[in-house]
Amino acid sequence: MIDIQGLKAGFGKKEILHNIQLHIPADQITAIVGQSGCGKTTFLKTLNRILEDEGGYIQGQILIKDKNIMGMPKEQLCKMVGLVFQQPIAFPFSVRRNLSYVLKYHNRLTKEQLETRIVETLKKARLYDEVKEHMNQSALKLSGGQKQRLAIARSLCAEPEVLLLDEPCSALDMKNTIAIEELLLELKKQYTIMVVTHNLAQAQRIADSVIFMDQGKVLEMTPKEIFFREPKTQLAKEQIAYM
Amino acid sequence: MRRKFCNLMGKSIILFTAFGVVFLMFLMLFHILSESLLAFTEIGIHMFLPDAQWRPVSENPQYGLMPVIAGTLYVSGLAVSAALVFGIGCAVFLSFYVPKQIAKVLLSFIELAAGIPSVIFGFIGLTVLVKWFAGHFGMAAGQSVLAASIVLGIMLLPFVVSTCQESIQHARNTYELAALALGFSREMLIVRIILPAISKGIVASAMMAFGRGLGETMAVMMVIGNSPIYPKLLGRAQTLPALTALEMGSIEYGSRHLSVLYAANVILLVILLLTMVCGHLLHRRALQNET
Amino acid sequence: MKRKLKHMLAGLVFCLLGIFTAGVTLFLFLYVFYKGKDVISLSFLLEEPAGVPVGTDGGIFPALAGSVYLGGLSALMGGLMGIGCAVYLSFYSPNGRFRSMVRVSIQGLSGIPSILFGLVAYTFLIYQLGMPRSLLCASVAVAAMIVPFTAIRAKKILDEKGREYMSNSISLGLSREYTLGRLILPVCLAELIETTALGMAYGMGAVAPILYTGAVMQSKIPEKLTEPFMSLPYHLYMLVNNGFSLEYAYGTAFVLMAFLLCIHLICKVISYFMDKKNCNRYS
Repeated sequence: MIDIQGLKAGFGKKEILHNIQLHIPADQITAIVGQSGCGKTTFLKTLNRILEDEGGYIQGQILIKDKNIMGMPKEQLCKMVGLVFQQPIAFPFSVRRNLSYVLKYHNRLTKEQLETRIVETLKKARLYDEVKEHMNQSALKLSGGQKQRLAIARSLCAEPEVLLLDEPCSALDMKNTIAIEELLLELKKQYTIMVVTHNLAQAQRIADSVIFMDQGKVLEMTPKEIFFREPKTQLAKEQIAYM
Repeated sequence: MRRKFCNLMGKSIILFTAFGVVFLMFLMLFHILSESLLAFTEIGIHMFLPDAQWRPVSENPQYGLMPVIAGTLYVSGLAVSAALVFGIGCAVFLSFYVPKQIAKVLLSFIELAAGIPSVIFGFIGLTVLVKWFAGHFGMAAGQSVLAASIVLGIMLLPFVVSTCQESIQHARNTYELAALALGFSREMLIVRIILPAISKGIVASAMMAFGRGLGETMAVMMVIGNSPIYPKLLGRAQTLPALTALEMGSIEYGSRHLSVLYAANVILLVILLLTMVCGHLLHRRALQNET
Repeated sequence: MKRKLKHMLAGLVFCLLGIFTAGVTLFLFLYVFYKGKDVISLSFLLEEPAGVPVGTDGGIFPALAGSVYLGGLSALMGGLMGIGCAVYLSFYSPNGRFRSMVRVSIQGLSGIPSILFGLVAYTFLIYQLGMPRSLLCASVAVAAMIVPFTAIRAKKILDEKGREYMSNSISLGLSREYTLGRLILPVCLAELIETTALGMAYGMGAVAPILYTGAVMQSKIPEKLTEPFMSLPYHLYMLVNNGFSLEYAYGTAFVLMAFLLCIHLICKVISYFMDKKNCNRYS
């Protein structure tokens, strides 16, 4: 699904990612784990090229469904690859408008179609029951966990093929974390999902494969069961032992 | 399709304004330099001889700029020094000796004074300071370098107070708790810790204030006496912007006189640039020392 | 004992400096209002200047109107340009030489003394391009002054509020322009308008750029952009410099200061209420 060859990325003179080679399969949850500062977030940001908007550079070849993303127009790429940030952000609109804001840009819909899509997406994001009474209220009043699910719903509005999530639960409590994890397990049937997490237990719960990174390099990519039983690298062994 | 069009329109407008700003800057620079070319080529070094006087309309015109340049630097330097003393003192006063609520009100008030137009400062300077000087210091009229420096200093106060106050807040957050835990008194905290900590910031503010002071026109023009002679504290003098404002309306376009005025402003811009560069370098060094 | 004395002395010095500074600031406002209040009347505000020499009698209405026109026109031109430029710097092209040029231009323009804008407008617009001394010419000079003023403040506003929204919005496949139009500019609108209003106040008080580019001692309220105009601070300067009427000068200063203070206070009040509203939103 996603083919990465010789990926190098960084800011100015500082290279953060060194020669990454990976193949990500479709319709699975791939967890990216590693210490803080090893380049996990930077890696995600190369996949929708938002790294360039922040002043960085990307070199190498990244193919998503055999299309080279380096040559693709940014808008088209970001529609295909959705990114959910670490800090849950709700746009300062009503709940309904948070979603229609995205839907109206990508589609021409009648009022009824718009409403149907909004409800559909909120249900998919497992948020509908909690907000159905408050659709016109400001989304800023939602809780952290609800905001994060709203962010996921927004991304789904763009009908992506790939969903990237950067430590989606690090700002949330246990209950909301579990809600999001269950949501991701549901969504993997339809989308290729990559989740950055510093929490190995979370990776064990939801991932199909695990990418282990350290200092800008990918040390291994292994199916979950094998990774947590018999990881290839020493560093991974040590970190799992601390779990 | 409509989306694409709207996107393009929006992007074009924004790029247009960005281009416009660059164009404006280049246009001004080009115009100033080209208009001053005549003066630099035909009069050149004579403008900068220390004993050349400013006599543009006499039979043997002299275009000595040194007295005016000296006046500009003197007035601004004096004003900044005064503004620093009072401004830092006031910032310390507001941060440490006044309850927070009152300090906030006073600070907004002082910042409001930054919006008072330059003419009004000149006007007050004229009717208060100059009048007082005329009576008490035995000057013919009260216009003087001292009056101009005081007026300019007061104009720069809000800027100095607000930038120092910000730096003090920052330093406070870092050091106050530790100092109090060690039993420092308030004054020791201020003098031994806070002031040294913000010293780099103060220098940067001083440079910026100096730059502002150099370019101030109306207020200075009204109280300095407009005499293009070497500045003495209680005597009259002239600054580059005031000279420009005073003379530009009565000069023929294309004449040497006008070109020299432009050259004078080129010098002013050079001084401003040097000031900015110094401030920038000091700021950079301050950041480096902190990391 | 000796140390305590030293500390007390230091404290005293700071207090004196502070009180003196605050006192001087207060004095500025009070002095003008005290001295000008006797001249202020409805006729002063609404009549045209009269008397011999002109300005020693009558009112200042044309100057007030002229200042408002000048401020409004230049704030419109300068504010829009400055905001557009700030948008470019905040959200477009993070690297690149053109971006550095734009940044340097803004910093350069912000350091140029106001008289230079007047001088360049005078020789370039009036002599080289043949424009008449007019509201338009003076407005262009003042607008150039306002561009860096608004650009720097607008960039701060946009960076504070807009950065996160822009990243999130781009990641949804939306264009920057759509995000600006539907999300970022509406959210920042109040503060941007406030910045432009402050720019207008700044422009209204400027004399140096309009000295020879359009302001005159006596004229009627301009009906076309190509006509000269009267301006409050210019009127003040003329009354004082030529010794026409100190009394009316105080009155003019009063009106000018009151007007500008109103603009500043309105902006402060609005931003206070916007802050409160935002706090309520999050509750």
